[in-house]
Amino acid sequence: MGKFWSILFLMVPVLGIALFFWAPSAGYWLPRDNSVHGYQIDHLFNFILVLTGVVFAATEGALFWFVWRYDAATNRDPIKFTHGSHNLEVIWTILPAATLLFIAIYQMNAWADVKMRVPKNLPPTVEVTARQFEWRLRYPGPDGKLGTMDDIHHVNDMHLPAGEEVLIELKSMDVLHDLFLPHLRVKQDAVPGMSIPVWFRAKDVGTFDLVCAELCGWGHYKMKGRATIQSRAEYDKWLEEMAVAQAATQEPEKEEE
Amino acid sequence: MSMPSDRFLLATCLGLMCCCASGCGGVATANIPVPSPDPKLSKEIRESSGTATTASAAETEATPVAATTWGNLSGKFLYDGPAPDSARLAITKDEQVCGKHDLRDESLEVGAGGGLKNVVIFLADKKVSVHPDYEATAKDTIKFDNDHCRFEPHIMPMRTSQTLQIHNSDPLSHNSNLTPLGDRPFNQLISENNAVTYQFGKQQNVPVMVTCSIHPWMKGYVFPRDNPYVAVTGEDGSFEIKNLPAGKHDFQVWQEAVNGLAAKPEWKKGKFKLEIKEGDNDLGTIQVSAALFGK
Amino acid sequence: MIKAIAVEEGSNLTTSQIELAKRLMSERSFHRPFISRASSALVIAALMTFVVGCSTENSHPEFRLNLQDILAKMGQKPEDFQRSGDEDARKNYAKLQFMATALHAAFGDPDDPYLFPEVQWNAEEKKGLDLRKIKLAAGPFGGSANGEQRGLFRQHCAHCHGVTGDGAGPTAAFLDPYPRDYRQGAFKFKSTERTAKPTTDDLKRILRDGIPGTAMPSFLLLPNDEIEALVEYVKYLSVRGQTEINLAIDLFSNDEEVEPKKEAILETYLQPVVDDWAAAEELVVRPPARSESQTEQDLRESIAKGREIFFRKDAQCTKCHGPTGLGDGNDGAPEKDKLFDDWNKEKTPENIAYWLLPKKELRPRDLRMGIFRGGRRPLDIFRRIHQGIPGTPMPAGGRDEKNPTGPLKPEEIWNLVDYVRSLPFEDASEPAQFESHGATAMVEHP
Repeated sequence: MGKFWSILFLMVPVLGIALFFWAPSAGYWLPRDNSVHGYQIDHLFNFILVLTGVVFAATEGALFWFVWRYDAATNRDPIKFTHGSHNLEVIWTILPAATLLFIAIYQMNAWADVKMRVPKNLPPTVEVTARQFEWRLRYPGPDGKLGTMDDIHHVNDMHLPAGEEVLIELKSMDVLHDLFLPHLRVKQDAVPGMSIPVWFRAKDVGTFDLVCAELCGWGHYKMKGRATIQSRAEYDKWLEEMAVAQAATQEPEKEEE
Repeated sequence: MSMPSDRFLLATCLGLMCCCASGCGGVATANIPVPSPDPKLSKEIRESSGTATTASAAETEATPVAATTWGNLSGKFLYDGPAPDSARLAITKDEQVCGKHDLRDESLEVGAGGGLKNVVIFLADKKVSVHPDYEATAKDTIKFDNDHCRFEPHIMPMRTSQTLQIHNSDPLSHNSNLTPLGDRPFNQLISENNAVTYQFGKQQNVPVMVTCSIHPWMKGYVFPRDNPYVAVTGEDGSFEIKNLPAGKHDFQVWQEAVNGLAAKPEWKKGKFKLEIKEGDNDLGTIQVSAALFGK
Repeated sequence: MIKAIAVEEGSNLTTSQIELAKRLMSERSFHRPFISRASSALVIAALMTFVVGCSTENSHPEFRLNLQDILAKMGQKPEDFQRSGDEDARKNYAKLQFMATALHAAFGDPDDPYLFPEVQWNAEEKKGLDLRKIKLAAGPFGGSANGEQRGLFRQHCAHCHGVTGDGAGPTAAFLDPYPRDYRQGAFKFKSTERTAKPTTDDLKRILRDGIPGTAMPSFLLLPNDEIEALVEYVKYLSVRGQTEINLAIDLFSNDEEVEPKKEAILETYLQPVVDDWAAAEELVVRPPARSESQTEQDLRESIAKGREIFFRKDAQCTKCHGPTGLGDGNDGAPEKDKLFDDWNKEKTPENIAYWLLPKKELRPRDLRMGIFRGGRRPLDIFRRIHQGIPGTPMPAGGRDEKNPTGPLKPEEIWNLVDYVRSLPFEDASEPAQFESHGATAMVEHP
């Protein structure tokens, strides 16, 4: 029987690893990277995936071998007791520690790029305020400044210019939320009482998902928005239209449909 | 797994089931048997064509037997107990104007002679013939005033055919907010020495509360009825309804602190039947027990 | 397992030790038959309750009768329904049953809505409700046989607004303010005159923009046909609720007989409500035009004027919104003089038990938050001041031909609008509303 179980358990790593090879071709992989910095994130992801994959394969292999080799039904070797191997313990402590340290140092630049090197002298493109359960957006109005009377307010439908550095000021009105733009490799918690800068440069125009990645309450699933990346010209036109609509003192003729 | 964790499991399961069971219940108003629709009758209603019947029903309703003899009803409500102190109202806004007047809670007022003030007594019949004397005033405009940061009069009866004019005699703006049941709500700002008008669409069975949100202590009542047979007791607790059609009628008594005023034990929710004879009818002096007001 | 342990470790274990191990193992599995069986039965029962849940009950949900209004406003007491065998109680029960049946005849049930042909959408008269759209929003969540999306209302709205649209869904009690009770037919944020119903576009706007400062989220990204279906369903629930109240007033307050005939229900109780909804499109408040070119100087002057009007004793803005606009104008009032929505004001200690939700205070808007529930366009704020907010203490203050004595002239309202819009950015709003990381503050984030 032991042989049966060992082969059954071997299926876990075999199928698991096979799944990873099959998934990208079937479309179950990271969404298309549409940001300039995203390759760093993807590289780190792939690097750590391969590293852990190798360790996973080796560990699972060893497990299989032990279960196979020392099957109670067939194994007639006398039992052996050992008080452990000091050398072995040193090795399996130092090796992972060194690996972790390596990863910690290796990713430092990417981390600093996306979390610490706030672009200087870049006016915020949009202020995103997360609340249960929607994304409230505020764009600087014609005067180019946020926090003035002509600010443009919108909800859930984020528009951003392509090909330029974009700075989002992320806030939360109530609880923890998380601004997640998977195609732009952006994921940042929104913390009540804090204004957190998020910046990136989008490559191509298109419409992408904007979701909440922090369980924020019963309506978490409702916090689905849309990020539309547009050319500068189109983006400016959109902003202008919004500004006009927001300054309305008369009912517009009939809403567009 | 040891014994205590079994008990824990048991409790958890029971708790879980209780949660599930209570979760299904939802919010309940009151413990009243609630019927389901009758599918057979519902189908019949959908397929019915009842134009003729409603018309005839309306006809029969519209023609109450015209009365020829008329009677007056009078009486007096006395408060049976030590006269309560009406609390002084807290004037939190516009103290310079409203603070000058000694404004008091008017929900239960007892006059000098022990008379119970502001009791409303009205004819509750659905259809009644109206004495010709009332015709002249049927389309009048009735003034309800914001004066000295209170409503004057405190309770104002009127006919639905009449127009309500809410006036403001104070040197600042008031607003009058009223939400009659099944009728158009109203909430308008009224500036100094100005007035707004309101036309009721249907009669009410209890007086409609009028409030001023700017001065939230202000509270008054307007009582629109299709017929003119409504009286409000004065300082001495007395009232008179003139020219009622003779015959047996339903009456109702209302007081703002308790709604239906069961001044006599047999007056359930303040309702009673009375035969009006030609000439004067006296309800007599009615002693209203202080216990009814929780005093 | 025991055998394996024994064989592997045989050399070091005594027979008695093996026996002990065996006994321990067997005690674990077999010596507690009662508790084990009882608890496994319970686990299964609990799981079943979870799986089955409320589904048996909800598989065919019914509209909830409006007992709240009957008890709280129409002079009825629970005792009037409960005395068994009492004639009054039987009569009241029969009335309730008739009400439920009449409403079922006129509106169907949540899974299968119905409308008399007379109140269905009539494109020529621009009147009535679109049953096709209503059916799209009704029913349980999921696709129907022909692949159309159904159950939109239950998917998006019912958990707060309730299946009946009574604003008392399962999550309602946790929200401040409470979700709208459509049955009362009162809607706060709309473009029409105070007593009129909202227009279709008003409701669509609320669905798309949400109501900032409340729990009502935005449904901007829903396709237009779904938004329209939901709006039509909200109208349907509101018409149904008001018809119910109209019926209840005659049955319970006026003690009238209502004939079990379609015409009787349609003409007296239903048609007037549908007419009201149709009339709303004509009752939109259209403020007089403002000069297009407003220079910065003009704006500053307008704000200054607006500030004066804000403090004027005939405008009385400060009495609720406070002299600084923080919404604290009524803070000194005693408990009984607090401000409430109309539907909360009616709750008294005597009748509170009949209501679906506890009494909740209404705070006047803090104008310095920069949150405008009914929309932030100058047009929206103009309408709020001109017509007030239905159902709330905020009165209509605007002057026009229908209200010639209103204290605020249109130009004055525009000044007030400018002042109110400028309030969030006034110096008193310290700490500043916005603090930039990019342009000014060069603080490195940790």
